[in-house]
Amino acid sequence: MTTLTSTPGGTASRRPAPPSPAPAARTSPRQGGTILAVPALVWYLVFMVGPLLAIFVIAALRWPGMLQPVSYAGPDNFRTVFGDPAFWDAVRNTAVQLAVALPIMIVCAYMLGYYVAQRPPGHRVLRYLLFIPGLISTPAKAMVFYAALSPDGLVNGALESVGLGSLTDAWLASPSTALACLIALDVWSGIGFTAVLFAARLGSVPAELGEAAQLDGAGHWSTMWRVHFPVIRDYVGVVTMLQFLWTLFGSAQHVLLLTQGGPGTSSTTLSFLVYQKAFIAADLGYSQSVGVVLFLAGLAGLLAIRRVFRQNY
Amino acid sequence: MRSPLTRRGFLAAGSGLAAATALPALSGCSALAAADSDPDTLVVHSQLGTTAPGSPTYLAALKRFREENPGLEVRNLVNGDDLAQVYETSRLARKEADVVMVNLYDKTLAWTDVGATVDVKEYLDGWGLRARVRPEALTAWTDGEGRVRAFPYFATNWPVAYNRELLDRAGVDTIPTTGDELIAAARRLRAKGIAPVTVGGNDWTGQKLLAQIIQTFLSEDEARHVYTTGDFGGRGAKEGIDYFVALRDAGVFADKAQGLISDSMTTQFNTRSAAIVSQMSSGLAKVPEEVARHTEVGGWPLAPGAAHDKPTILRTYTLIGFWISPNGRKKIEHVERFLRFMYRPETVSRFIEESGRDMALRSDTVSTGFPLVAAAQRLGDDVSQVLLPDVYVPPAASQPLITATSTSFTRGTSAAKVRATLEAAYRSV
Amino acid sequence: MKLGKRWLPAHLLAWLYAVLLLVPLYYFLASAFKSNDEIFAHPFALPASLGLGNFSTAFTSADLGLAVVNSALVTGVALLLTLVLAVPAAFALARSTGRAAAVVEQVFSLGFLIPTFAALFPTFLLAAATGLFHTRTFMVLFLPATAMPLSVVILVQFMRTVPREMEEAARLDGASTYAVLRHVYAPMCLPGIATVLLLNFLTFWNEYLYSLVIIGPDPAQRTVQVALPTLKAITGTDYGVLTAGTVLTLVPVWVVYTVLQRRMQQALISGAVKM
Repeated sequence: MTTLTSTPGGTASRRPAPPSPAPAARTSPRQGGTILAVPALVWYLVFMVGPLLAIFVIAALRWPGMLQPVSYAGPDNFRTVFGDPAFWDAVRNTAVQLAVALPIMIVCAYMLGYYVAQRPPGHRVLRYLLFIPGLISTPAKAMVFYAALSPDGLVNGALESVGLGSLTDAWLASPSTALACLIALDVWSGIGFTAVLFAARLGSVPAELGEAAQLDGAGHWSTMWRVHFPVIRDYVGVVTMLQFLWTLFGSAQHVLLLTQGGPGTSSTTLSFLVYQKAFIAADLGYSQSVGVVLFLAGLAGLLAIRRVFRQNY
Repeated sequence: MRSPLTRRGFLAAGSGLAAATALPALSGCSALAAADSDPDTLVVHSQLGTTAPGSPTYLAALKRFREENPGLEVRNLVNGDDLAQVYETSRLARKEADVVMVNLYDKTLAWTDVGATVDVKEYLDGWGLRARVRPEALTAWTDGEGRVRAFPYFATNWPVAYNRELLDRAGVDTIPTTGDELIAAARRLRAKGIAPVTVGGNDWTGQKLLAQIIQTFLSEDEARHVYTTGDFGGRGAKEGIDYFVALRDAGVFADKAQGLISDSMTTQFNTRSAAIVSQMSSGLAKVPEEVARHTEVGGWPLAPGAAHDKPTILRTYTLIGFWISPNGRKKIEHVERFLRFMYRPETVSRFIEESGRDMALRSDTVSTGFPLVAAAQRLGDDVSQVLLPDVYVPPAASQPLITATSTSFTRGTSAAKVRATLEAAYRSV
Repeated sequence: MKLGKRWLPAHLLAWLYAVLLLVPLYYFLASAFKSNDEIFAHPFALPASLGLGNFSTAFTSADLGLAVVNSALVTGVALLLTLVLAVPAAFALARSTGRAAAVVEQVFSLGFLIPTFAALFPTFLLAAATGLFHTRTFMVLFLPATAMPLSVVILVQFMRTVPREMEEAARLDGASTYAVLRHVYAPMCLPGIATVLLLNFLTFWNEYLYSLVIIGPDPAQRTVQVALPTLKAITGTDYGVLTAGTVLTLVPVWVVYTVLQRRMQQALISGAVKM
C-alpha cells in the first residue's frame, strides 16, 4: 500500500528527488510532535477499524434478520455464499463492471486531463464543470439517469426522433443492458473528477518536456502517450487504485436506486449483495461474509494494480 | 512569517463557524435525544406527513389531537419506502417510536413474531374498539396464532379503470370482460396510437397485476397455497401464467411495460396516453376530473375455464395500520388516547371525504369529491375478488418477486421461464 | 502550446462531455417547475410556467429549513473536527522519519479498503452501543474518521513540500512545535486544506445511508439527504416537488464549491496533490 503515498517517481530522473526527510533529520533532528498523530489514529481505529473487525466477527454468526436471535455459525456462511448462484452472478457482474468501467474511465480521463492541461480556450470553465458529478448526491444522479433511460425517457426519445425507433429499449429493465447502464453512470461521473486530478498533475510536468518532443516531430498523440504518460505513470496508478476501490465498494447505491439488482440477478454487484442481504433479505451473516470477500477482493486488486503500474527502473 | 489577509480571514471565519455551530450542536443534541424516552411525549413513526395520499388529512387530525391534549406532546416521524428498515434498526437499539403506521407487507410480516411490535388484541377489546373494525379487516390483520398484529386503518379497492373516451375513439363499444375482447380492444387502441393497459412492470404495481392475472384459474385456497409456498407448478397456476403470457404477447400491455414504474403508469393513464389501468383507490382519487368523467371502473377480464364467474379485482384491508411497539406499551394510556381519537367516526370520515381513502373501519360516509373511489366501493358483487398475495408471501421472497416481475413483463419470455423466475424468488426462503 | 486544427475533435469531445455533465442540472431546474404529468410525458422539455409552488411545498412538507440547519451543523462540526485531527497528524507524519510513522501511514491507507456498505451494520451497532444512536452527534464524530485516510494522505504530501530551512529558521527564533505548525506549515498548506475541506464537504453533505440508519427519521435531527426522500411515497411521488427539494439542497453545495474551488484548482494546478 505504499504506492498510495508515494510521490511521483518519474520526476526523479529529471530533477533532484523530492526532498526526503532523511537528510534533513541528520542536520537538524525535528524534535517533538509525533504524539500529534495519536488522536487521529485513535479516532480512526475506533470508528473505522473497529467496524472492519466486526465485519469478520459477524461473518461467523448466524443472524437471520435484524431482530432475530443470533448464534455461532463458524464457516457456514461462507459455505452458503460460495454455494449460491446469485453470489457467482454478482462476482461476474462486478468483474465485468470493473473490467469495462475502469479502463474507459482512466483512459478518457487521462486524455481529457491532458487536453485541459494544454490550456485550450475555456479551460477554466471546463475545469469548473468537470467537478459537477461530485456535487450531486447519488440519489439525485440516479433520478436523472432514470429520467434518461426509462421507457419514455430522453434516450428513447432521441432514438425515435432520428428514426431509430427500433433500437429503443427498456434500458434499465433489460437483462442485456441493465448492467451497461450502471457502468455508464460510473463512467459518466468518474471521468470528470479523475480528469481534474490528471490535469493538475500534468500541469506540473515541465513544459520543456513536451516542447522538446514536438521539436523532434512528435505529434500530440505520441507526446501524450510516449512523453507525458511515463512521467506521471505512478500517479495514474494511484488514481486507478482509488477509482478501482470506489467503483468496487460504491456501486451498491446506484444499483439500489436504479435496478434493484434486476432483472433477475443481471445487475447485482457484490457491494449491492452486501446491502441487499443485510437490509432487504435480512441475512446479516451472509451479508458480512460477502463484505469479507469484498475486502479481500479490494486488497488483491490493489496489489495487482500496483504491479501493473510499477516503474521499471 | 507574514500572515496574508486572506489567511487571517480564513481562520477568523473558521473559529467563528466553530463557536457558532459547536455550542448548539452539543446542547441541542442532549436536549433532543432525551425526548425519545420522555413519558409525556408520544412518538408516531409514519409514512404519512409529506406528499403521500392522505397526508394533509392526517396532519390536520394530529393538530386537532394536540389541541385536545395540551399536556401531551406528539411527534410525527416520517419515512418513505424505507420506514420498515429504519424502524427495525431503531428497535434493535431500543429507541423505536411508540406507534408505527405502516402496511402489512414484507418485513413487517415478521414483526409480531420477533417482538418488534406487540399483539394488540387485548387493547382492541379493552378499549372497546373491535366493533369499529370491519370483520374482513380483522381477519386479515390476525396472524396464524390468533394475534392481532395492528389496529387496522386504511383499506383499498384495486379495480381496473377504463377510459371510455379512448375506447370509443378506437371503436371499442363495450368494456372488455374476456381475454379475447381485451386483446381485440388492445389491437384497436394500438392502431390509434393509444397504449392499452399501462402498468408499472418494474415495481409493485406490476407484481400485483401479475398476481391478479395468475389467480384467474385459482380458487382462494389454491392462491393462498401458491403464494405461501412459491409452488407455481399446479394446474391452475400454470394456466394463469399461460393466460398472462398470451395477453402480454398479444400486446395488451403498454410498450416496454417491464421498464415502467407506478408513477409512469399513473401518468400515462392520467394524461390519456393509455386507456386502461389497474389502480388502487389512492391512485383513483388522483385521476384528473376531465379524465375521471369518462372513466369506468370494473374488473380484469376472464378467460374460458376461469375459477371466477365475474371479472376480478383486488381488495385489501392491510394498508396502513397502527402498530404498537414495546416502547409504546410503556405509555399505553397515551397510545389509547391517540387510537381512540383516530378511530372516531368523524376522524375516519375526513379521510374518506377529504383524501378519498378507503377505510378498514366501519363508516357510512361515501366520498363525493372522488367519484372513481366511490364507484369502486359500489362495485360490490358485480366483480369477483382475488387475493392480495402480500400477506402470504414470505418476507425474504417479497423483494425478489418484484425483481421477477420485470422479467415476466418482458415480451418473449416463455411461460416456463416466467414460472421458473417466480419460483426462483422463493429460493432464499 | 499551439492548438491547431487537428484539435477540433478534442474540443468537440471535451465540450460534449461538459454538456452531458450539465444535463442533470437542467433536468432538476426544469422539473422543479413542472407537474408529474409534464415530467413523465416530456422529461426534458422546458417548463410551461415558472410558479414556485413546488419549492414551497417541498420546503414546508419535508421541513427542509430545519434539515438544512442540521446538515450544516453536522457538516460544519465534522469538517472542523476533521481538520483538528488530520492537520496535526499529517504534520507529525510528514516530519517524522521513524519506522512507527511509516506504519501509521500505512494503517491510514488501509482505510481505503473498508467496504462502505459492509461497514454500515457494524457502525450501527457501535452507535447503539455508545448510546449515540438517533443523534447527530454520532455522525459528527463518525464522519471525520471516514475522512481520515484521504485527508491525512493529501495533507502529508503538502507538508512534505515545506522546505525544512523554514522550520529551522523558526526554531532558531525559539518557536515551539505548535508555533511551527501554526505559523510555518498551516499557511503554506492552505490550498491543501482547502482541497481537503472541499472534498470532505461534498462527501459529508451528500452522505445518505449512514445518516438514514443512524440519525433516523426525527425532523429535529435529520439531515437534508434523509429529509428529501420522505417526499417519495411508494403510492405516488410528486417528482416536481422532489426535484424542487433537490435544487434547494444543491444551492449550498454550489456556493461552497464556487468559493473553495479556486483555491482547490490552485492547489491542484500547483501539482502539490500527489496523494
